[in-house]
This record gives sequence, structure tokens and C-alpha cells, in this order.
Amino acid sequence: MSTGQSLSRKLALVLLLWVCAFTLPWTIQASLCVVLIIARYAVLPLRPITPRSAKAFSRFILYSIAVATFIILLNGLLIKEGAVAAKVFGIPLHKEGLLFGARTASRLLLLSFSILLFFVSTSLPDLIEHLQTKGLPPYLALVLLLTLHFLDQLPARIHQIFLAQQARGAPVDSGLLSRTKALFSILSPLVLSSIVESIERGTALELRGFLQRPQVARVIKRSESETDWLTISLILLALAVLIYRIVQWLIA
Amino acid sequence: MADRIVIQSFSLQYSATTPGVLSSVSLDIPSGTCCAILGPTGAGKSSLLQCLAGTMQRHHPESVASGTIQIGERLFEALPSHVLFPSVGYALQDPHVQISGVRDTVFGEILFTLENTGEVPDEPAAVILPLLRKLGIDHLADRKPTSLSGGETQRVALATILVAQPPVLLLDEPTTAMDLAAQEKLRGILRGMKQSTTIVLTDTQLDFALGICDQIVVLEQGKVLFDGTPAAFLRRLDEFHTSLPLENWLPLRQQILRLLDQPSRLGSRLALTLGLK
Amino acid sequence: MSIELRNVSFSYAGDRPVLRDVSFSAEQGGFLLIIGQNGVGKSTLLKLLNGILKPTSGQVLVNGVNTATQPTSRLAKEICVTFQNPADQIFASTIRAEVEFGPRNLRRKNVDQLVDDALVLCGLDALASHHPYDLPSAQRKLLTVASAIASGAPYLAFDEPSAGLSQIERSVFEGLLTALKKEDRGMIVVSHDLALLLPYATAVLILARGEMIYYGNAEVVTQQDGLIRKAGLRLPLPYRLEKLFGK
Repeated sequence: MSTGQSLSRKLALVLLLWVCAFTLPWTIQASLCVVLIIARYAVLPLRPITPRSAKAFSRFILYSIAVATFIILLNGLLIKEGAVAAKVFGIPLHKEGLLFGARTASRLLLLSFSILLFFVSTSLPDLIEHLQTKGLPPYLALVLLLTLHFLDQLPARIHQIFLAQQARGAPVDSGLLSRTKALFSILSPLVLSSIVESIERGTALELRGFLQRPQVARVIKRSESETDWLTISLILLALAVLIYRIVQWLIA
Repeated sequence: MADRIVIQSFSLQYSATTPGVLSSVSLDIPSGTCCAILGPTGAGKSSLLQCLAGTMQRHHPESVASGTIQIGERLFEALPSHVLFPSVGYALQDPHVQISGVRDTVFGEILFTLENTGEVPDEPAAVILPLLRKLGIDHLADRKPTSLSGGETQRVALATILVAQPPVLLLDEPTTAMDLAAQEKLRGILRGMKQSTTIVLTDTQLDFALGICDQIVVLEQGKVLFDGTPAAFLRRLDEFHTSLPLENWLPLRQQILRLLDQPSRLGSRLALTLGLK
Repeated sequence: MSIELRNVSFSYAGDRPVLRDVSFSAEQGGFLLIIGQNGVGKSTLLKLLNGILKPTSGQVLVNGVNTATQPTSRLAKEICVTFQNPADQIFASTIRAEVEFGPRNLRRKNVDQLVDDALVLCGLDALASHHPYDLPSAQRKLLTVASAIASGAPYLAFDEPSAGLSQIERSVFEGLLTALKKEDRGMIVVSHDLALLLPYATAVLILARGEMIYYGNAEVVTQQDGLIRKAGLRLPLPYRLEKLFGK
């Protein structure tokens, strides 16, 4: 499977999952979340591409489950409708509230898991390349690449600037008010130097012929020229779910 | 393969109302040679390189230029309207900025240039690996381009330009923050390239240029103060002490000139050291 | 009154040592030049001077005070370390505000005087109300030097302060080196620019692969070519020519 095919399939999968997040019952949404967590380990194209992103994804799952639990409990507490489903430390949680919380939480989880899994398992430069073959203008691709690079270098940059200002006596290790004042002395060089550097980076890319880059630079492999049935099936499935839901709503 | 560069009475202003950046500059750089353009900050060196690379008009559309620029067979009235890569390769001053980060390996980063030009060979390794070997960085082929040291980054940045085999190579102050050993390595690489590439480099000091360049040009406030051989430049050294940091050279001047004028073994060694042969 | 390193070694967590058993002393009024190839540990050494990094073993003493027990904001009163890239620190909208940042943070008493003097010394007094990014990059480098001088710290440490300076700025820089010596400030400079700085150095420290291979006066360095070569460096061309003529 070529990179282009893999990307198309993953994008179609995200589309399908997002349609499900707005159309299917919360129980199915929650099950799909579990399937995604399993897929992150089991399905090769969905595995995180760097150890850093794998760690970030795992951490995100844990935090999201905690937040989801909080949302469910809070709604059960505040929406006092229906029978009392359970009691926590003597405080009643109502069924309708819990269900409302479950619906909200499962939707949020499915939306965020699907998009995050896409980004941790995809090389973003490859994505931009793929979008260019599908017609993304080179100038826009240039902007996206520069943004990506900025984000990638951001932690290291902030650290360097922090050290430089600390060495001039900036109050970075004292009280909250002082640290807030020092924040400007860290953000300002970050913004200023990033603007200047982005201009130079853009020039450097231009000087390597980036803007004259041919639309289809790579030799198209045999498998890519075959019809990608999986991508088409996923898109059709998404449409089918949407239509089914609309019909259900019209009948009801 | 290398191209000759001829600049005739070239003048440049960033806009019609701003003072001139370059004033009636005329240069003839023969093909396959190295020309060093020396001068203080603000002399117009980078602006001249930007005109040769084709970025001046693009980035400063209000700029006004007169005169002609000829690179190889192509003649431009005033400014080229578009970037001339791969006919003209331009290595910017900061090599970190040249690494796009679009690919995960040094090999991929260099291949990226060939993809841009649409000239990807059937066997990219057959083109890229020999180039890496020539620059002494073949052991870095699988490394992440953004994780290299300063000297390694410089050579990778050079490779990303050289892979397209430009007939003209422009280098903007290539020795900034380079220690002298690294400078010598770079000199060796450039010496090896001269036959196939015309090299134009800028610098604020004399030291790197001697030993590599065939032609020295001194630029100050947009005007050419000197255009000639390194030997001729050394004879007139004291005329340029306000434009260039020559405090270490001037005391040696008399001895250098005496040795160069008299045929002797020491004189030959000196000429060799200074690259005047 | 001095800055002392006593048998200092340093390694980043879990990694092999970057610096091994380095000892030296920098006095007020002196100029210590630290040279070595890139990647040999010079920047790490600078960060040890003001407590940004604490030594893995050994001691760094600033006027007798161990840096391991002090936060950098307090040590910055005694030693101002300036890193290589001006873009890492320039943040204000005028040159004056930029130079004022240091002395204000350190609560110096005569901030305006310190700022004025520093600007004059660096040839930036006429440009005080300009935006730092209106200056060409060579002058922005001098701006970071002015910021360090205005901090009022008795010791100043710089990482490649003359890189990217052209003739005019180099003359300004030489002028301020002389002025700072008269003020009895201690200078610690990491640089490749032997041609400019070796004449001013009262002591030279040569690092190779994290170890000190020489620490002593500057004359020996120009006379013993082997020492320089051992560090993977070269003497500037004029020095080599002098030796050639000496034969």
C-alpha cells in the first residue's frame, strides 16, 4: 500500500467515525472508542510513528477517560430527572443525567480519539505532499510546512529563550506576578524571531525550487493506479449511516 | 558546465524613493573560477547575490534596477523575474534555515531538491551517495537532518543545493561561526568544485577567501572599490583598511610583497599558502 | 574576587560526560578566552558559570559563593552570560527598553546611567529609540553586548560575541574591550575569532573533547602550533605567516 492510499483510507475512516459521532447511539460510539484504542496497537497504519507521539496519545486517552467520567457524574448530579440510578458518598445520581452525560462524553471521546489517532499515525510532511498531488496549491503547502516546522521546534526554542532571559536576571524562578511579567520577555522573542526565520525558511525553500515543484513528482506505483475499494467503501458507508439517520429522523 | 557571469553597469534601489543599494556595478567572472566579494555589512553583497539568484524582484517588487546581468547564455535586462534555481544555486548564510525538515533523513532531504526540479533519477542513491562522500558526510545519510552539528548542517545544506548540479553557486558569508579547521575543510570542497561550477562567495574578512578565490572584489556602499587578482589586492592592501578588518595583515604586507616579488623557496611557499599560484 | 571552577565535571542525565575535570579562575580586570572545536562543551561551560546548570561533580564558585546553592536570578547580579543568538533574547520595541531589561531586573540603582554608558560604548546611542529589528544583524549582536554591559555585573561572559561583525563593529568591539578592562570587569569569552581576541586575552583555556588541554597565558598559544592543532583548530593565517617569516 502506498503512502497516498494509506492517507486516503485513514482520512475516509476519520470521516466515517465523525459521522458516527453525530448519528449513532452512545453505546455504539463508546464501543467504537474501545475499538480505536485496540486499533492503535493492532492495526499497523494506525500505530503512532514516533515514541513521543505514542506517549502523548496514551496520556491523552487516560486524561480523556478521567474527563469523561467527570462529565457523566456531574450531569448525573445536576440533572435531577428520572430514577436515582446510584449513590456516590450518599449523593444521588439520576438516570437521565447520567445518560445525557454518557451521550456527551462518548461523542467527545470518539471525535477526539479519531482525529488524534490520525495525526499521531501520519507523517505530516507526507500528508502535505499527498494534498499537493490532490491539488493543494504549492504556496499553501509552503505555509503548512513552515507552520509544522515552527510547532516542531517550539519546545526547544522556548527553552533557549528562557535560558537567555534567565541569564539576564529575568525573574523566571520567583513569584507568580514576576513570572507573568517575565512571560512577555519570552513570548516576544519567540514571535519576532519566528516571523523572521519563517521568511528566511520560505526563501530557502524557494531557492530549492519548491514553488516550481511538479504536481505529481513521484512515479505512480501500480497499486496506486488500481481503484482503492477500501477508501470508496468507507466513504459510502459514511454516507449510508448519514442517510439512515436522516430517514429515521424523517419517519419519527 | 560552469557558467560565466557578466554584470554590466548594474544599479539597484529597493524603491524609487530609497537611496541606491548598488551603484553602477560591472563584473566579469569567468566560468569555472571562484570570485570573493568582500566588504562591510550593508555594502550590498547580499543584495547582489539576491539579484543573481532571482529573488530580488520576487521579494521586493517595488525595486528599481538598471543595467544587465548575463549568466551563461541568458541575458537579463535589469532583474531576473523569477528564481533561477537550478541554474543558480544559492546557499544562505544560516544553514539551519536551509534544512526544510520535510524529510526524516539527510538522504531524503537531498532527494527533496531533486523532486522539486522534477529530475528524480531512476536510482537516486547513485547520484546522492557519491555527493555525500565528496562532502565527507556519507555517514550521515540516515540521520535526522535537524539533529546535526553546525558544521555537519552546513555541509548537508550545501549538498541540498549541489545535488542539482548548478553551473553557478552563490555562498553568502559561508564562514560565520565556523572554526578555522572547518573553514579549511570547506575550502578543500570548494576547490574540488571549481572546474564544474562558477563560485561567488561573500565575506566580511579576507582570511577565508585567500587560498580559494581567483578574483577579489571589494564592495563598499554599493560601489566596486577593487576588482582583480589576490596578488594585485595584496599590493594595494592599505587602501582598504577601513572597509575590511586588515589589522593583522597590514604589518605583514611589506614582507609578503617582498617575498612574492623575489623568486625564492619561501616566496613559493607563501604563494602556495595564500593560494596565489 | 573571582570566578573559580574546581575540578568540575558535567554530564546531562544518563549521558556520557560533556566536561571532565575542568579547573580555572577568572579574575576581575582579566580576559579569559576559551577555545575549542564546536561541540566540545564550551556552551555547557558558560551555563555552569551562572548556575543554569549545576556541576555533576566539583564546584563553581562566584565570588566564593557555590552556584549549586543559588538561583540564577541572584547569580546574574555577579555574572551576566550572553548566548550566541541575539534572536533568543531581543524582545523590546526600542533599543533603550531592550538594554534596560537587565539592570531593571537586577534592581540596579542607576539604571539610566548604566544604559546610557552601555549604548555609547557600543555605538548605539543615536539609535536608542529605534526598533531592534531595524538594525542590521551585526548591530543586533552589539545590542546584546550592550545589554550585558548595562547589567552592571562585574563579570561578563560571551558566546561568540564577534561572529557576524564586520569592520566597523569590530573596531567598536575592540574599543569596548579596552574600556571594560579599565572598569576592572572580568571577561570570559568563548570564541573562534583568535585574530581579533587573542591580543586582548590575559589567559587562554583550550578544550578538546570536554577536557582541558591547556590553561595559561596567550603567548604560549601562538608559539606552540601543536597545541592548537591538538584541539582540532588552526591559528589565523596572519599568525602562521608571521611564523613563516620568522624562519
